Amino acid sequence: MKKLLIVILSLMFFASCSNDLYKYYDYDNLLYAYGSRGFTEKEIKKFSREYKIIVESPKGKRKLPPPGACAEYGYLLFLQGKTKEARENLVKETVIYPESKTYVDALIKTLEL
Amino acid sequence: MKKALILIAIVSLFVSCNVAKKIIDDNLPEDKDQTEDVIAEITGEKKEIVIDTNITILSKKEIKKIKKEREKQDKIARGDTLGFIKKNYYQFFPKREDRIVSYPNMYSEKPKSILLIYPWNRSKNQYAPEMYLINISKELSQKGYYVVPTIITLEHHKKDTMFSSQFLKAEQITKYKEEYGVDAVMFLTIYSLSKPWWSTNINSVAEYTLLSTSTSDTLFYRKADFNYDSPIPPYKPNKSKDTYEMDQRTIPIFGTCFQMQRSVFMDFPYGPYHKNYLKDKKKFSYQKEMRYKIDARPS
Repeated sequence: MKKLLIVILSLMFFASCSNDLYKYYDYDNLLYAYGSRGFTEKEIKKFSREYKIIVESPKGKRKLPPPGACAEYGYLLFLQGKTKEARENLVKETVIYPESKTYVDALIKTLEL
Repeated sequence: MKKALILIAIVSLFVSCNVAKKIIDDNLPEDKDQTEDVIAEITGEKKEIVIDTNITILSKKEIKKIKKEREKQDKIARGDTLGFIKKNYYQFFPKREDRIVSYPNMYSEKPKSILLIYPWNRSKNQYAPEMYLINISKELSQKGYYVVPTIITLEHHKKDTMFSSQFLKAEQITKYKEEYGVDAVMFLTIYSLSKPWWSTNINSVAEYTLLSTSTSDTLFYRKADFNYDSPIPPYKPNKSKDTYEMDQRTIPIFGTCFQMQRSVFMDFPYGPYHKNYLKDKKKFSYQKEMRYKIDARPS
């Protein structure tokens, strides 16, 4: 019993030692599907629901959404017509990552948000 | 009367065809030669004789010698100055080079943000650029850099407002500093990403170039030939409830691409969001052209 406990504890310890700065959840599948076949309006809704998890429950060492995630989520919200939320997320990206200010400002202008 | 008419018709035909003028022009002596002769007579100077080419016949030995010399000069120009033994020795026991030596511009320019340009796809896989873009952006983000979102790159490419790496020149990249505010731009050429039906090996070859947008200098360059040959799947897709599942054939190829980026950027200097930023100057770095092979088949 003791041995088993030690094994479980050590496994838990190793699992918590991940060196990743961000957690991407289902990002690969979603983005690959988006890039390779394009989405219908319904699918975009589903896609943004999945994306919400990446943005709103960040994990990893930095405990922040990965670079570009807020901007991408904002863009998807814009595609659904949710302009206010889209703008909020785009601004959030510039707050977390100030390097993004130039292109996010340009994006806000072109999307007329 | 009839003969006269025929004659007139023939003459008018010749005149219209400019034949008569041509015949006269051909028979006239050339003006240029004449004038040069006259000038030479007046000034008393001799006309210059221009020799077009000097033909010297060389023996076989001399040709060999010249060839050897040219090869030597080419080698020096390429920076290939090592001897035969040293060269072979370094192939098996590569010289350890620190990151500060391999990527000096990365530490002097300190780029924070990177834009991935849509790759030049020379492979037969239609969706290879998407696979590369997704995996590279993830890998560079984990290294501590800010990467411009992949969706935006894909959208710009779809709308034809962004060129792919094929059509861009190094001098043009400074405009990306103004447009996107990025410090560096990554160009990518995919040569192959395929799995032949007769083999279990998946091969992927690509060339990466990271250029600075302020100086156009090369910050990072690598040509990688990656082979994955193992029954262990290279990638496990995240299976959540509501996900888009990848095609079963795509998963191993996507996985190989994922593993490749891990290997290629293993020695990439850490970015500003990483705790080891600028602390890895004396860590190892690979060569510019690399061959990776993950071969774990059961014997």
